[in-house]
Amino acid sequence: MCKVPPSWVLHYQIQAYKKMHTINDIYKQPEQQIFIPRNNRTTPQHQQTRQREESNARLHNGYSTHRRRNALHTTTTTTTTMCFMKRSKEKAQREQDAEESQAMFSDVITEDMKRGVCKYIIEPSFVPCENLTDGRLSFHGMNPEIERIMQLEQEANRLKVDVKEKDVSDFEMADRYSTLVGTVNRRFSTKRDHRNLQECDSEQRTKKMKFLKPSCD
Amino acid sequence: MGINVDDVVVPGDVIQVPNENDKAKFILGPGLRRHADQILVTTSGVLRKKASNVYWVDCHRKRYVPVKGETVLGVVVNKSGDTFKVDIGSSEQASLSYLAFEGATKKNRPDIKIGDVVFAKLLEASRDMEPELVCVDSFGKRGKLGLLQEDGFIFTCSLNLIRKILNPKCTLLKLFGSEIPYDVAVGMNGKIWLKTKSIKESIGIGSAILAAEHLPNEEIIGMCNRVINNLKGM
Repeated sequence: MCKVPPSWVLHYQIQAYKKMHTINDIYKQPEQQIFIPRNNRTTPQHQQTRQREESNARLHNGYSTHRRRNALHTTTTTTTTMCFMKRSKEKAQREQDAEESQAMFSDVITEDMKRGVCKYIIEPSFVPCENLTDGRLSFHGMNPEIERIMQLEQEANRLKVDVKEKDVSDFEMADRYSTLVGTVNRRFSTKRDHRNLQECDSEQRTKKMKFLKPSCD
Repeated sequence: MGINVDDVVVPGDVIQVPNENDKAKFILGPGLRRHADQILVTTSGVLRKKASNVYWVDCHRKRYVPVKGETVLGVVVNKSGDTFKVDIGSSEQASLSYLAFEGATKKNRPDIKIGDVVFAKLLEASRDMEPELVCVDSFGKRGKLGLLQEDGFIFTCSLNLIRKILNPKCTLLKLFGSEIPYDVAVGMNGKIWLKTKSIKESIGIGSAILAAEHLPNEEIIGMCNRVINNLKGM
């Protein structure tokens, strides 16, 4: 177990607090101070963490697990290269990578977006602002492939307008119901009607199955 | 004195958006920037507005700044290993992977030479990285993108002219299309590729597009008809 000089305790406190409130939490409450001195912690959250820290301290000979883990950032590199520190080292590396990637995509994912209170959406392109079309056009068979896609797009646009007006057009509805007439009719017919219908069907079937003498001999 | 829509604005101007309900979201297009709770103008131009909550600045510009998702026209200038370097008129050359074509595999490479013209979409346009192009959509289909034929004519114009002719209200391209057979690719980076059946038609349509920059939409129709008549009369 590595002993840590008392002069580093302040740093560990900061690290432990950062650990407890994950990065997302910090973004959610940006106005909150990240470091709060130990004796000033009054909110229930702080009390809870304080208790947790104290219990940890009892377990681990005066240093909490949080503190031990985060001490890695400052301890000498020789310690981290030791075999048993390998996992902690990887973890520290991962955290650093995450921080770097966040900085890289800061223009795409703003802090306001993380907070979820963003009132303004930034749109860097003119295309959606002005409803610009994609400038690939062909006319009179100069490029049949492009013209086919243009035609499909036009039809899709027309359909979209139709759909806005009515889900199913009157003609489609009428067609659909005309096919249902027989089915619904059968439901209301008597047994005798059914039999008649079946006989009719069987007659037709025999007619269909009749052997036709080949004419070509 | 407040700034209204369709006013001329200069960098540093503060725009007041209507603040009726807090739930309403505003879309800030190019040329606008949010700073704390203010909206500031960053380019000089004309303030435009669409559908109550979309604002942007319409400006004159010739230098293309890559934006993710836009379609651009580029010339292949270099071949290095797995990627092509494509000149799209931005500060840095864009990279185009040989796998970003329809039906391309490691064994089946697309047949692209230096000097070829591609119509591609910007997949990545970050501040710190070089822009990346693709010639397929997310389904791996070519769609309208891809390599353009060799016998076309490329010319460059300002970015605001591109926006003008791609606007659904502008009928310039369709007007020519109704009379003359031609194939055109207009990139958001200010490059236009044109292919017609004769040199005269190429010159006619090309100069008509360039002349449209300073004409209102109604005059464009008249100008197009004059050009079409001349071309047909020849």
